[in-house]
Amino acid sequence: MISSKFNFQIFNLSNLESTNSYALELLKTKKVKEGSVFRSDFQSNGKGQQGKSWESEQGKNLLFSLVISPGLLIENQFLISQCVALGLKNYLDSLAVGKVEVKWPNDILINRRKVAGILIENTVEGKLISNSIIGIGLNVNQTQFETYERAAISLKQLSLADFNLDLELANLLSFIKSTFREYNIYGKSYIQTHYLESLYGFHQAVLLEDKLGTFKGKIAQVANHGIIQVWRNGKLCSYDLKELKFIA
Amino acid sequence: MKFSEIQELIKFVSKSGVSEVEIEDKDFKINIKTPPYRKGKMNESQQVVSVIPQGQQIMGAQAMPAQIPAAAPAAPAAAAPVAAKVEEKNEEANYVAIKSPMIGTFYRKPSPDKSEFVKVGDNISVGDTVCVIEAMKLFNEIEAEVSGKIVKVLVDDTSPVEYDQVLFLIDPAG
Repeated sequence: MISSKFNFQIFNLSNLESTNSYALELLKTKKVKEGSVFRSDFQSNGKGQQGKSWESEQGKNLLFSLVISPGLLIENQFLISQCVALGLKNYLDSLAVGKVEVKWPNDILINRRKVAGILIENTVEGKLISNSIIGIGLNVNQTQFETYERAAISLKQLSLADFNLDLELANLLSFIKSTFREYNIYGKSYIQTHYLESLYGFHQAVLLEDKLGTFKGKIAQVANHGIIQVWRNGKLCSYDLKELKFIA
Repeated sequence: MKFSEIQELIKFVSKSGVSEVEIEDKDFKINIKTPPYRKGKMNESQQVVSVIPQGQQIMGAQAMPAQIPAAAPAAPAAAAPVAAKVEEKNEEANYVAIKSPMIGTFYRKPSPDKSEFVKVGDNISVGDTVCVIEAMKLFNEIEAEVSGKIVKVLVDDTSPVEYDQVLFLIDPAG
């Protein structure tokens, strides 16, 4: 059960190192209400996957961390990731600006380019996740990307219109909350099925790379804890995060 | 049986968890007893090793193979390090282990350029973050459930850990 009864409270901050780190620090010193959203117009040290940075121009994008207290068993941690990825996908689908897919484990693509990233940090007490800090970076009004010119895309690049960041944040948060609600009502398998069907490489074979080299493969299944199973030349292979690369 | 073989045998028996092993050959008999395990705690009694040269009893000293007199006095010497090990374990039994709640990668620092959450000798309280375990881009800050002093860190930074693997030993008396 992931609580979905909380109300959002948005804290606007300026020029943070990382909204996730800020939230984590705050949690150590005082009680942070569930539903708190720490938002920054700029991150000097935004966290990306495995130490990679997250590039964002000042005031152009959505960068925030949502704090929830899921009280979920740690073995179900990947469900938080799946719910958030689905919430983001549903939100982006509603904008109808392009083909939205989830790149395993939790990046969001539009027309095969990265529009959003998720980074989740949990605090764990025994076997329970006490707090979950859900960091999201969404490219909104930025139109030039230095390092990731071909790999990244923003909503403005797709629609040619400027977006109101405050409105989009409120909209996106309500989509995420509603995915938590869906999980509570329909259960784990509902979320897992929808997540699987949203994956880049599920409906058609894509170029992948493992330690043996590149191959065309199709995603078959994602296990509870996030391990992916891929069809590789007629054989089912399992991969951990670091063992498989998508060559988009 | 060679001296080195006896040593190997003692090591093997002490690790295996069996309480007693008796091997009888045509000219000697070796008997190794280990202290019984109490739930998680070792008994204070020492490991008992006795080598009885069979030949001595039956045929007298002159008929014994040459290596047996060498092996017999060597046995207590070999038992000594085993006993020392037992005592060390005894002490560890008073420590509380912080175990990994999941499979993942163990991180001792919040980020590569920051210092470690905890070091050996640090006093920690309930709720303090001791490490991060990452799986599938999900970063889990593991909080201490006991207060005390860190006496041992059993896993290296950035190495993979299994479910229930012991990460830290805490001395609650600390």
